[in-house]
Amino acid sequence: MFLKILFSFIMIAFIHSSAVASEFQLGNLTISDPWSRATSSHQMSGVVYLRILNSGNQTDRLIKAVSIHSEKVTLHDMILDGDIMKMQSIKNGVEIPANSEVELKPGAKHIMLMGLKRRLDRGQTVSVTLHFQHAGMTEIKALVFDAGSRGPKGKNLKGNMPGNHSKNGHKSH
Amino acid sequence: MKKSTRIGLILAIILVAALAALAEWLVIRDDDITKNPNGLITSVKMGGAFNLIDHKGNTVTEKNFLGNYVLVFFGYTFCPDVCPTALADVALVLDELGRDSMAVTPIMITIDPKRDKPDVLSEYITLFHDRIIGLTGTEKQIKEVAEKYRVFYRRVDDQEYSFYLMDHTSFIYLVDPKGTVISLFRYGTPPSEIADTIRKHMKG
Repeated sequence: MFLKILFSFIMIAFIHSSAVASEFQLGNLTISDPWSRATSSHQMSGVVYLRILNSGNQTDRLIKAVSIHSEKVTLHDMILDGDIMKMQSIKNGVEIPANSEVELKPGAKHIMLMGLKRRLDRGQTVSVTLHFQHAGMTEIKALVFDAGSRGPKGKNLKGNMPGNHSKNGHKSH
Repeated sequence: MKKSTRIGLILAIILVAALAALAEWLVIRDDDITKNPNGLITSVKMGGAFNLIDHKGNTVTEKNFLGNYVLVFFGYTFCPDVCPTALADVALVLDELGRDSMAVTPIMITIDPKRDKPDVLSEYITLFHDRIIGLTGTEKQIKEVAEKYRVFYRRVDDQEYSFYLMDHTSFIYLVDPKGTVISLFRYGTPPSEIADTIRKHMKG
């Protein structure tokens, strides 16, 4: 009985210590589930995906991003030119229309960390400061998943998702 | 017409013709595909012999992969978004096939042999699945195999970053145990669909 209680405490402590906030608020913007993928030690670019909900009546734009983990951060989109996948810089930033949600995800718009300063390992967090045209700026922390992960919501290969012991992140803790 | 305008016009015509030829080459026409009486594709006119180096540094040819179904993806390790997603899909296909997955060999062929040396490939592929085989080679060997699979790839340099990226086609190819290409899947095809196709072929 004592062991069961001890075990529960250990599990709770573990969950708490690995808990990472999965929502960031900035004015009318809610940035949810920012996540990244593990890289090999040779890779020089990384990705960050996330969702941005604009619950205000004014359209905003994600115009810039900065991170201590890479030399540069750029905003990219994937364009299918016939059957050729091309990446393209998003010139004027990512538009987040009023009262809507935009998702940056694999195969679509994404934040690129160019010139990674270190390898990204599963379970780590990547800090990125997002600059919005109207809302200002905020620092978010993206959780690193496996290299082939579909993210916090998608179907994943390996069972152990870092810190993802409860549904939908850890806001409730 | 001014001389510069005329030259510009000629160049434009050549460019359009080149793009049209490329588009033609990339398209797989009906007569490139052979089907059996059940409507199951038995061969697609592409693929064939190759001479490459695996992620352990061994020389391999297409003969090394006979006897198993093969899932082939052409990509590169510096690829930030598309390749990890496609490789994850390949791993999910194997997952879906369960025990039958042992009859399928997943391969990644790099279109960036300059940077993707065996040890670089080795570290990269293990991030996705422990059975993926990485293949690289000389620029010439890669060019040859890419041509056989009608893979388009091109280096993209940007002054803003110190490293280059690549534009490339991103199909997943299915090869049967005899070495014949029997299917190709567009990027984004659900893994369950790919697994279903493989199962259909296994049943014959």
